[in-house]
Amino acid sequence: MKLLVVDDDRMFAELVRRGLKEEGHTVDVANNAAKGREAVMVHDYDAIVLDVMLPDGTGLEIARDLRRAGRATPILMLTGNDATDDVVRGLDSGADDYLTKPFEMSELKARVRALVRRGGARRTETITCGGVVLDRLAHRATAHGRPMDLTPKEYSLLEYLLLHQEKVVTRTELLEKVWDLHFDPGSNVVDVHVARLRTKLRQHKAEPQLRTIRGVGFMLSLQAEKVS
Amino acid sequence: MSEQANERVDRRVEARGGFEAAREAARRLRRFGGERLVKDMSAIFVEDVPVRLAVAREGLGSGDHRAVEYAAHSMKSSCGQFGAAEMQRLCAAAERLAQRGELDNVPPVLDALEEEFSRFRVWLERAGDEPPRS
Repeated sequence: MKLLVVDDDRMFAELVRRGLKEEGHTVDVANNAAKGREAVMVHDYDAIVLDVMLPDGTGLEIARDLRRAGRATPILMLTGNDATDDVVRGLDSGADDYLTKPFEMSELKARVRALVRRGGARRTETITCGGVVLDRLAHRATAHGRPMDLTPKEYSLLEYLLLHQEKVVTRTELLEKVWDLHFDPGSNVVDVHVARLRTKLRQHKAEPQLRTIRGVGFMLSLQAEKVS
Repeated sequence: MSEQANERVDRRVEARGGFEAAREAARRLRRFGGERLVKDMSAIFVEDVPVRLAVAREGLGSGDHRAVEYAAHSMKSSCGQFGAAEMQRLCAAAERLAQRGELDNVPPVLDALEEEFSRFRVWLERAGDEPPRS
């Protein structure tokens, strides 16, 4: 999943970034309100971790703007430990949950998982395709009930492909959404991971085929490939 | 630094007040990200506190109570995460004074904060070298 952290405190931002990255997420960091506002309007994040107090504004304003724009992106607000008013105003401005600083990383991770889980109609706990089931809450993939041994990047790749099953996804799209690279690194990193994932799907005799669409990208599909 | 010298620093630093909360905070960080995380976070903390102190002093100089409040607030959160209890208390005091517009009373608090930071920094640099004794 693609997450955004808006916090001007380098220590907190880095701590949160590492914790969420460890969970296999792609994490962007914005260190002020202007950059945070720009990022949420441009990208489609799965969740946002938002500090209340920022040097050039407040997280409350960002949350309010996002909701006014009709965006349902789940928001976890970070507040000071003595800021009851901030908690109330944060929830009123559209945040879905809050966490007080200082916090335990395990709690932050759990709260983000919970937020994403209940974060709106387009989010589901499990995504399936044939016998492949991705449990986003447990961060686990199975094929016909057997656990698939995936690296964090393979898991993210599979998640993205499952969310876009029966559609062609381009290499550029995968580089951006799964690797958080906004440029072509000139390597075959995507193809290598796709090949590994394809092998694992085959090893598990999973029905969906991970097809290469020549010159375009890839498609996870239950439909048999046409042989011309 | 030799083992004996380390112990002397520990005794001198801790004689003026324990760092139990900081010990616990370091343990939490270590559990989550190992020694590397403790060192990386400590480095950011040690770099950022003087910057925020400078921002607060600049705010005092220009009578900008919001800048002082913001700088104190930011430091307070970082200090809390690191278990620097006395620094956190001083930051909260500076923040409250700035909120009330009582900027004349802030300088001694910032002086005390700077002194406590020097003390905490010594402990922190030592804490990063080896796991704190439980």
